[in-house]
Amino acid sequence: MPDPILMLEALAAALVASALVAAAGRLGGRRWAAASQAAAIALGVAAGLAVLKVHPRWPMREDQDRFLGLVLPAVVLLESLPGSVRFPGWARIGARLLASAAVAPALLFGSSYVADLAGPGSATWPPAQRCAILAGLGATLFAGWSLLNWTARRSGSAFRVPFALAGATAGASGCVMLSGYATGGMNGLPIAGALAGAAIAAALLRGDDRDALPGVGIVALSGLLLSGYAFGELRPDAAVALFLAPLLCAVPEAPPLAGLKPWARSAIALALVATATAAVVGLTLHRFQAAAASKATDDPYDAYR
Amino acid sequence: MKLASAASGLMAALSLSTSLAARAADDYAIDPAHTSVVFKSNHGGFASSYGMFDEVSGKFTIDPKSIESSKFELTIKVDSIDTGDAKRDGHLKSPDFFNAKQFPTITFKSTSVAKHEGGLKVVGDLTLHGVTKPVTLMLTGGKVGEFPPGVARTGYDTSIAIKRSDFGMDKMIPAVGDEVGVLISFEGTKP
Repeated sequence: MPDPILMLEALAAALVASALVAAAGRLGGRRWAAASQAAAIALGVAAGLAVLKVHPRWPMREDQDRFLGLVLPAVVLLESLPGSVRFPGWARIGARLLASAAVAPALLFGSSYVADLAGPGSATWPPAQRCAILAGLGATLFAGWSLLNWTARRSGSAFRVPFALAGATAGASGCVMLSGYATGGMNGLPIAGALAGAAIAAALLRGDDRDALPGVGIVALSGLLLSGYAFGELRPDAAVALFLAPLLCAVPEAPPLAGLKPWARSAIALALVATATAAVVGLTLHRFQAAAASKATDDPYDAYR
Repeated sequence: MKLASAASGLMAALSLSTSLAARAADDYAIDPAHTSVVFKSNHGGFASSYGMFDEVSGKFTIDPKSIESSKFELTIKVDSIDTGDAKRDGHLKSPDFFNAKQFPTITFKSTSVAKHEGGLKVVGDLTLHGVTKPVTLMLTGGKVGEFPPGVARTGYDTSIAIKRSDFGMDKMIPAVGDEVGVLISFEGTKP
């Protein structure tokens, strides 16, 4: 298990770096809000990863290389553009749809799920099934991304969506670590810290979160969960629940809760997200402990003691 | 006409001698039941932990008349890792270590074989974790016999120490040691 003190230091470094960059970005005005939020996430994650001494390697042979070196930079770049560069709405939606569709293929590239590594036809997912699964994953991510963008705009809260994503990402990080993929899970902590830092800066400085944070956050969360499921032993039920958890922050925008004051809606939203995330983390921890206990009771030498 | 006939006869004779030379080499298929790949690595500086791979396949050719023509190929299925602890096996299969979904096999393919005191010196390419590097195996053994009767068999033992970080498997060090000792024993049978 990785050093918990080191993990906390990485989380704190990401949070502080991200908050400082986001705060500095407020000087640039509304036009640069998206770019400054994206920069805050990028530099926050970089600071946290530096503490963990993690960096993507070239060539990108493994999922984490592609996640940290390709997927995250691409979505940060994509989400930094609105505001600073004028795009028609359809182009923005198209770019997000394309990015959503590309995340799973990028992470699974060259793996036994999609490549015939043990001879012709040996891929875990045959071509037709592969297309359906990858399309489904892309569509699900795009739907979640769109819902969070809608929620961020409608909620009137600077921190609701990014905090929800930070909490879910921190929970996912822990669950992936408990599911036999320690280094992959650990990489989620700087992302969670960076999201929280940028959200704190946005809340304190009366900014808003309508820009880069929801997109980067949901893509990072989905990438983390997909890596944990595909390359570690994260159960699909836990992965699905953790993906859905931050989407619960949209619930108070539906009647009858939509009539409440913004702070009350945000409080309910974050309570829902925290409860769902905590439940999945608790379940994963229980499974981890049960598996460890099962090993202890299955010890064949017990009979000789 | 006579000249053509003589040339044809010479070609046939050459072809026959080449064929006999090829037959002089013995082709063996790895006998999985009598093949073991066992590894050990240090756990946090406390003691060594051992594990093995349950699925090993391959083939080799021994040419007693021209030993440098001998060849060895070994394939190990990473998913068959077995340390006696299912949770640890799962962790070892993850990208923290072997990354079985990305790199499902470990392979060795010889590039040169030479005689060595008590056995063979086999140089070859070891592909582990998607990285290929040359390694040298000093094989001992090579007894040839029939076991059970009617089944020609031979076998070898070897050991090697590698640094897993040389193959890009550099995570969780020093919690799990960088240097890994590998014991390999294999037998081959010939129909």
